[in-house]
Amino acid sequence: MTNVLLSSKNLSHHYGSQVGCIDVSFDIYPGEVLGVVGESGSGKTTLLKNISGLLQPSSGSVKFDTRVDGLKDIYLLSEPERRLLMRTDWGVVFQNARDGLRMNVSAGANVGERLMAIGARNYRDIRNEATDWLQNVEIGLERMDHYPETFSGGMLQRLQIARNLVTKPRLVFMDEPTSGLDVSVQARLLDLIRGLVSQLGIACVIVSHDLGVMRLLSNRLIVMHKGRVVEKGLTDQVLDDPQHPYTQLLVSSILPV
Amino acid sequence: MAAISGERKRSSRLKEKTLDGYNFAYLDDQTKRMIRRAALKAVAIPGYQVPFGSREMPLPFGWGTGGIQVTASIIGIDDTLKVIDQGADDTTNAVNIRRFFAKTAGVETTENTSDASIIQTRHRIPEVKLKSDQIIVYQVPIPEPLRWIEPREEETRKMHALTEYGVMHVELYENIAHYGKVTTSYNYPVQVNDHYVMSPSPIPKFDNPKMDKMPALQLFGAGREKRIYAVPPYTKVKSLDFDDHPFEIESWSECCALCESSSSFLDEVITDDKGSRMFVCSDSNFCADRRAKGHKGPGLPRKFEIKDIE
Amino acid sequence: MEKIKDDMLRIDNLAKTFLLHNQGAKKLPVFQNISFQVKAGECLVLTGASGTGKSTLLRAIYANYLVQSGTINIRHENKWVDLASASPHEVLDIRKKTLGYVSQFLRVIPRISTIDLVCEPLIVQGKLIKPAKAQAKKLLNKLSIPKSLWDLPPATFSGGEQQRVNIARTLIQDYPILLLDEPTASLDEKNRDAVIELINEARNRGTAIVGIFHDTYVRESVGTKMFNVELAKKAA
Repeated sequence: MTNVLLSSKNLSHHYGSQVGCIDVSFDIYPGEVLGVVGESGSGKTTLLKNISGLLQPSSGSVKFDTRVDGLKDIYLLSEPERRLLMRTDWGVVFQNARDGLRMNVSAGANVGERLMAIGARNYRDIRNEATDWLQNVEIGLERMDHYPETFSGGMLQRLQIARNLVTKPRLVFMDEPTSGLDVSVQARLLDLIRGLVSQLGIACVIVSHDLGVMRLLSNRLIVMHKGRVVEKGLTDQVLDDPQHPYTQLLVSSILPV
Repeated sequence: MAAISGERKRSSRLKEKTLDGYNFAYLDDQTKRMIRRAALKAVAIPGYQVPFGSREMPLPFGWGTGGIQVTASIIGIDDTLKVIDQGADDTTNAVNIRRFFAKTAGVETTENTSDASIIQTRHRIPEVKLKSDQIIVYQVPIPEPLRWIEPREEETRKMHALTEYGVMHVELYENIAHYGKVTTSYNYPVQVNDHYVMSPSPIPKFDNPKMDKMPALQLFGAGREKRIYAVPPYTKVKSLDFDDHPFEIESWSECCALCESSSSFLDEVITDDKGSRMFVCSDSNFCADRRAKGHKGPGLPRKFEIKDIE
Repeated sequence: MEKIKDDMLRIDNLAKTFLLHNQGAKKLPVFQNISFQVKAGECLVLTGASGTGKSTLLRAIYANYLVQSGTINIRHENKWVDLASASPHEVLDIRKKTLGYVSQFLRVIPRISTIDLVCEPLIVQGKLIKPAKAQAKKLLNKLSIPKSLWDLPPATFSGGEQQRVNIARTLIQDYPILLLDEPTASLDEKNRDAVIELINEARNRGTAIVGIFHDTYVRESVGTKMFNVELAKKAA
């Protein structure tokens, strides 16, 4: 078995007396997709912020397998180190694509920015790389110099994914990447995410309340309820043979199509 | 002895030349000290924007209050001041600021670049190479080069501190993607001393190379934004660019219509309502100098003598 | 000639009970004390009336269901691994390389073409797209999926066509162990025979197979031994 990529140990977060998440521990390995499900308010988003370096947890540790020094607590890294990690090894795909894109620069520049941020200074190279990635996410090249303002919701989300994956991060955090999209657009995006993740061997943490999305995208599942992890395991096992009362309720509440 | 007599000479000169009831160079001494401390810090950290307590001045923000405050804080009775606006000594803003210091500080003023010890400027750097005993003071409207892409001050400060300047190239990328070349023609961002990316104030990019390793001290004052920054003498100043789209300055196929200069920054002047135009030096002092030395541009009517025009 | 009769799969004292928390913590025992072995080249047929837990047992062996007790030992890369206690990563690795499963229903991402779905397991293994597609085409041909359907997603296919796509998706890879849940349920004679042929080819290569086949003809054509889940339950 390869090395752990990210390891969360006894992670807890409190907002004053309010609970974010309690005692969450899990490991993520390279190339795997971990799903986090639970109803709104269950602590999914807090957990995602905690492990992606956006919000320091009240207690517990988050360690990441850094390229040079191996497993290191991300909150003990210096800020420049942590920001470098975010620019190079990590990607974040927001639920609302507008939060993750620069709406006032062209699609090509949105993709190229991360390359420039890690030191690319050759226009042709940046342009070519951006071209490749727009093709990967099925955005027509005639739209390359257009502003994201003119894009549909599905295109925005695909652009956001290209922008994140262009530097070939090792871990991508996705917060409800398909919600808010048409079902038909969702399917295409799911296929795209799955294909890219498996081709590039990128590990992914996906937060979603959509169990259907989870079944198709994730290898393993964590079920959160009132801030705690109540069940975890293989995605199909958790969904087909849920053990915890809450998971059973969740699974049995899916509306049939 | 000499010092004491010099002192006496100065105070008498002050009395006879400056306005009654005003401090020397308008600002009070505490303010000037505060600004000088900010300027010293700015010199110590080339390109870093030092916050300072910008004062109300007797003219609106945006008319050069930052530059005026810096000049007021560093000027002494023995200084000779030159003020230019768009390269010219005779535009309203330049004339008024020059008069302001003549009245409040009683200093000598000049239009001749080489004679000035302090040059306050908006939009240009003089064509004549500045020397190590000169100081150039820039008026700056927007000091933060990252502002257009990152609205949060907290974030831009971090980006400066950590030299995270990748986004600066996004603007250049956009230029090339849309127009095939970098079209930013003024306020073209530079990196100072291999660290801070800095706005050079709205000078044409033609002037950017003059900032590099300049023997004179360069001070920048932004009155409304309350920032002072500096480039110490002989400091590296590099204009941002791509490897395959290197930084370039403007060039003209014409020469100056008045002085025939082909190495200076030219302004296009429309001469009638039929669209006739000519190109003339933007640096009025430089142009006059050349004409005085006998250079004659193609736009000068043959029969006129140079003095007829002036 | 006898094939190498190495055990590939050993089931010991397996028990499964569903506990339904939201229905007054109702307990539904499915089976207990299930034990059997399957060797390479064998095809074990699970029998018993419907509702006796044949599918549940198959799913438990695939680690799709958790078991309450017992072990499921799988020969994975020449080592024995107990699936009942293996970590999720081990299970995923075993499913990727050793253990194949043909479910009753096709469950895939919508809007992906049939050909891409079928060659996906090979791509995941790192095989190049071209040879993978060639292999997929061969298999689809064999299972009489018309060429005109290959570039379409299978959502609109008939039940039988979907089932054959499902079979192709699993059988495209040479798993050492195969679990088959009614693979011929809704097939006509011709396609049924094609599937039988594929299963027997796999068995002759040395694949250990556990299957549920309601059709006596299929059972007799592929099975090498039987295991009656109902009787095992009664015995327990």
